[in-house]
Amino acid sequence: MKKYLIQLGIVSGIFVAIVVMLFGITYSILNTSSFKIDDSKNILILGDSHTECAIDDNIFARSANLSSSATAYPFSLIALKRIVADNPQIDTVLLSINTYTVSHYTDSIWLKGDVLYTKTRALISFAEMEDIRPFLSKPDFYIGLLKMPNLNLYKAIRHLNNPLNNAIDHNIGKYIKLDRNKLQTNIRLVGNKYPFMCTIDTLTDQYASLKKINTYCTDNNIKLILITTPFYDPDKYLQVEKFHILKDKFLSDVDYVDFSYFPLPDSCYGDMEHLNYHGAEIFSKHLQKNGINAQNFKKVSRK
Amino acid sequence: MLFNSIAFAIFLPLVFIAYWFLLNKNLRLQNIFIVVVSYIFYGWWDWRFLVLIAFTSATTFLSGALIEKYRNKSNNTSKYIVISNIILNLIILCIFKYFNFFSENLSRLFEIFGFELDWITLRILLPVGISFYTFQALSYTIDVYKKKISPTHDLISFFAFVSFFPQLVAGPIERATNLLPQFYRKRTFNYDNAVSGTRQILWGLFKKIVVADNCAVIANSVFANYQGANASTLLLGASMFAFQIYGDFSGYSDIAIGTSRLFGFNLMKNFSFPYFSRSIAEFWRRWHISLTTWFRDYVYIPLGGSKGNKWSSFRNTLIVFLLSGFWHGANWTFIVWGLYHALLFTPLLLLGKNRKYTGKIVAENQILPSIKEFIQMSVTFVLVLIGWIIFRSDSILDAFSYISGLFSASLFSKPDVYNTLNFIFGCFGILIMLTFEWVHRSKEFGLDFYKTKLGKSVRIGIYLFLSLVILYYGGEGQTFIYFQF
Repeated sequence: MKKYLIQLGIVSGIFVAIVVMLFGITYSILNTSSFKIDDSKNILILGDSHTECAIDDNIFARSANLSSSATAYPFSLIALKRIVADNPQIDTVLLSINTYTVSHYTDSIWLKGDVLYTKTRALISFAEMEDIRPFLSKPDFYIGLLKMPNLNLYKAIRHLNNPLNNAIDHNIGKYIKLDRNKLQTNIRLVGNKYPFMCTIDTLTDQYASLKKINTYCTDNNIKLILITTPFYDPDKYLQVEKFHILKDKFLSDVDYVDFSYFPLPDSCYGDMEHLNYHGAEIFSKHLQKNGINAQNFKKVSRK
Repeated sequence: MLFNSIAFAIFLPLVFIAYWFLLNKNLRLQNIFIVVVSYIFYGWWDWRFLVLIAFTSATTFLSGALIEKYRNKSNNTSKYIVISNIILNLIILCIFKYFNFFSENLSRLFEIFGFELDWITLRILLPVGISFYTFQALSYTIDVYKKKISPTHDLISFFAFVSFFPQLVAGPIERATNLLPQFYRKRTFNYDNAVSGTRQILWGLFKKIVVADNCAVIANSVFANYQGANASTLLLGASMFAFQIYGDFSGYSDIAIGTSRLFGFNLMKNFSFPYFSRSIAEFWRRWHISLTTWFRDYVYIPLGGSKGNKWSSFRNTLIVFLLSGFWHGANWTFIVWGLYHALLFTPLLLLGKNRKYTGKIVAENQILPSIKEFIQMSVTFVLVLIGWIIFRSDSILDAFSYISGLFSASLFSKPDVYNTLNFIFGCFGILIMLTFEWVHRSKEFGLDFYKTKLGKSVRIGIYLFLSLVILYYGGEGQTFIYFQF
């Protein structure tokens, strides 16, 4: 028994030492790298798949779109701090929000399991201690920590002699050219049964991090604007007016631009929530021409 | 509690320490401890499952005692007791597993004749592992009746036998003649067994997390979108599923057997490198051995086996394969899968070639297989692959559509890989798995280094390599496929 336990302990110890060493190497290479973006870009776009697919930063040229699917606000906060530190020209942040983004539902799917591993892996090298606190009670976070060298080490070593000097290289996020049209399939599946939920839960990690993002932007003279990207038939599937009431109640100190009613033909939607690249082109051109001003688009009734 | 979970990673060392350091001197206490931790392990899914397994254990234990009591008085009474216990256990299994299947199909049958049958469909939670422990309990009752084993008077040992946590939810389906006596004997820690067990756990985790979970992502994507896929993509999806189910199920068995060895128990081998089989008959001697031997001993042989004429041999074979398919689940696809294998197996049986290659390892004393052996293995794999398509599909129609989609010129075009990383990691895992299993094809499992010539530092290097691959290249956590059976 003693011999078995000693040998098991030795092998386990060597394993732990290798894992710690790989973590340390990866962390130190990534942490000292740069997040520089083009000086001409003063608008930073962060958030989830909605902004990831909707805004082409090649067209909306003043923006840098670093959104990524299923990115919860705690991770957006980490990315925001790191990017702003290397890019003093940023004076505006567009942050994706929808009627269900600040909810226990989103907390449970975006701050758990594989999503948490993936985001932890991508962003932990840049996080400050205070920003890690929401994750400390989540076991999946520690698994993400352990797995951090996966892919990151290869990336870090590849850039050893050519330091990562571009935010895009870090794979935080970028505009994704969505090439699909599953709108009709989506509509059939959703039917009339489940409109997208409409809530702002103040007792969520999402809400707490959103407030921190707001505070950080205010402290650094950055204008924070919450943005809802175009949505298919919001009258039927979103409770837009209810969300506006909730937003005014719980996020009254944050600017909000609602593009849910932005007029687009059906062919511009990848699905009910996301624009495909046709829709992204039209929407991005609109932003490039008109800026991010709040506008009331005519409610388009769809039959 | 999944084997590849943080909960089990904490559970196992604690149980190990308590078992060997605190309770080693008292066999009865050790067995009680096994029952307690096994019930904790099983109740982790749903505490309500415990009621059922306790009921099955109690009734089966009682049956054994009654068989012994009435054996000398009247042979028929003990026979009725066995039959009652079998019927009771099968009724429980049928209610939880097959009730909705029968009710829905009965409704459809009545509709064909123009009758509307407003049948109840029960929303029943399927207890994890019910098929496994039910069959394990049945083997005890039948073996007691046949006098292969004396009925136990030790309730604790019997409860431990039925609920033994390493093999409770996905096998191997143990025989009372093998496992139950191990609860009567004092277990002593054996270094070689513990090291081998630890290796087997590592190997099982590798097959499950790296091979099965990565292949699952590709297989699931292809099967979900098969209508629009080209033939090469369909072939890729089917192949990925073949390795998913093998990595998943044999991986679980390896973890179960390895864990048991840590506690001084020896379980039966459940997989013997089935994808190196040279015929369908050989495949069925190497795949899910505990189930196939269960059906052989408790269904095929009592029906007469192959002792009668060719027609009765065919009939018995068909019954066994159909039951085996049905055991897997309440869907026509499983039954058709069983039928498919019956049709492949029967010609070999009738020609007397079903026992070919028994006890013979492929490419024995050779490094590589001969061309003939390679062709045999490839053909067998393709036949098994077609069966897996039926097994995996949601319906018979889907299965036939999928299979017919394979016969197209696009078989030679580039397949669509839905997730490149999972595909790369899955292929990497398959390559490592097949390499180790080929090299150790004469041994118990792929990482069996017992009496190997490899140096200690090389072996440690391999363990570290596999551990790092598991940590960094494991797929998204997927449920063990066989939990649904």
